[in-house]
Amino acid sequence: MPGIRSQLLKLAAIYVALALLPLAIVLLPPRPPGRSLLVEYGVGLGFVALAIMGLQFLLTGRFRRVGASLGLDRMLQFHREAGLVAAFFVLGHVTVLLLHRPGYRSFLDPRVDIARAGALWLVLLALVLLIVLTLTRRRLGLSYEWWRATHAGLASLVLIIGTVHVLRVGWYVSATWQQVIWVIAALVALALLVHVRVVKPLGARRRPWRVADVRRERGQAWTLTLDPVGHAGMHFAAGQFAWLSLEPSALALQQNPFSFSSSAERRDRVELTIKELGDFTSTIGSVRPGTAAFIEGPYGALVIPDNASGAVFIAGGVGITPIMSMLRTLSDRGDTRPLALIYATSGPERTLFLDELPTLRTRLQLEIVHVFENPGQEPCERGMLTADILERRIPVDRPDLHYFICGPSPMMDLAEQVLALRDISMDRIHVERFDIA
Amino acid sequence: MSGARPVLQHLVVRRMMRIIALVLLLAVALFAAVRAA
Repeated sequence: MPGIRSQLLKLAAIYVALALLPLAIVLLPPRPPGRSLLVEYGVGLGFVALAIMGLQFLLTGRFRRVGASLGLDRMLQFHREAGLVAAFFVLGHVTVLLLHRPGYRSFLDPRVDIARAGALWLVLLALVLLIVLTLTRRRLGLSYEWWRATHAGLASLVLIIGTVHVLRVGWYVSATWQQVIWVIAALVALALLVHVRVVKPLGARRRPWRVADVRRERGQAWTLTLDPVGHAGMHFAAGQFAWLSLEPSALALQQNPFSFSSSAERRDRVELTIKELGDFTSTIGSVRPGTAAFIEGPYGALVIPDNASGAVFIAGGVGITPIMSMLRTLSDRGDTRPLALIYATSGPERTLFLDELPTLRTRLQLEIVHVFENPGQEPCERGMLTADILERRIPVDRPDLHYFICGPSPMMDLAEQVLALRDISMDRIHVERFDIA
Repeated sequence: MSGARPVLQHLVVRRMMRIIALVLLLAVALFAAVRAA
């Protein structure tokens, strides 16, 4: 598999080409007369901003191939950064044109054209809301479900009004074929959204599951055991995740992403371990066995390569979930490669899977290091996970191993830094950040 | 150890997006130069 850097570069090249496509198209005849440099610059910024907005729908399209090689978290982070760039370009579009041609202020003047001005103010407000709600969702206490629905609605609004704006201004789209291209491009973007939010969840409903068991775990977490109903189950690779929705749900399309915690050898009985973090996750404990469940997936690139000579897992809190799936899978397969787990939690009573880990240690070539902030009498590293602990506990001179990091962002940053300073190749450091969205 | 400052993977994505934004800004400038009367 090509390295992460080369994959990112390939993605960047395709992205730039697609974002510049509108400018290439407007250069084709019939071309309107040229205007001043700054007007053309401002207009060009607007075209590229709209293209980036359209591409945002592509980045969240949940394409398995891209997601599997690059990781959905990286795609989402790219999506997030691109959103900020789109907003910056829209700001540039408005500022350059208004400053250079004060006459353009009429576009935003409701006394001149209330529908046009209203739509343009609305799109600016929608853009601001998109960014503010995304950046402050947790601080404002907004539920993930509410934010996700609002995000899609606002983004669609921006895309639709932006496209109508291009068509209404009409400067570069006088020919029918040009108008058709813009309309088709916008429709494709919206179709991608419908595909992800409607078609895929409905597809998952054709392969239903039933909650067989709801088990309380340490650390305010629950494990849902799901059995397939009328089908053979789901093939997934250990470390991957799926989107879950449960009946009864007022919103039939409600989905939340969770990692599999069970062995990938058992496709006919899967488990998802979910920590109570508010919203939907806080309702898991009250789910009754027999409830209908729907899972769409699998997704994610946090997977052990077949040719890995061994692995080091660095987990924090609920970040152990995908790693537990890996350990259980390796155990079921009788794997004999050297493995190490460095697992940081606040204390034994809040440590997920604490009782099962010793069994896995006996079945695998697995060394386990617990890092407890509030330890009891058991042997462990004490306090927060630090670079010093990682330096001491990560096997030395093993650049051939693969390293898996999953947990809170500060912990992941720390672990990545320690590994990077050891000259471990980025392709051998596998991370999954759950707090990107 | 290389002694080089470690680059976190999520920072790689951020840097890449910044470079893309710069490339796009330059491309828009080129477009404007071509189109300007």
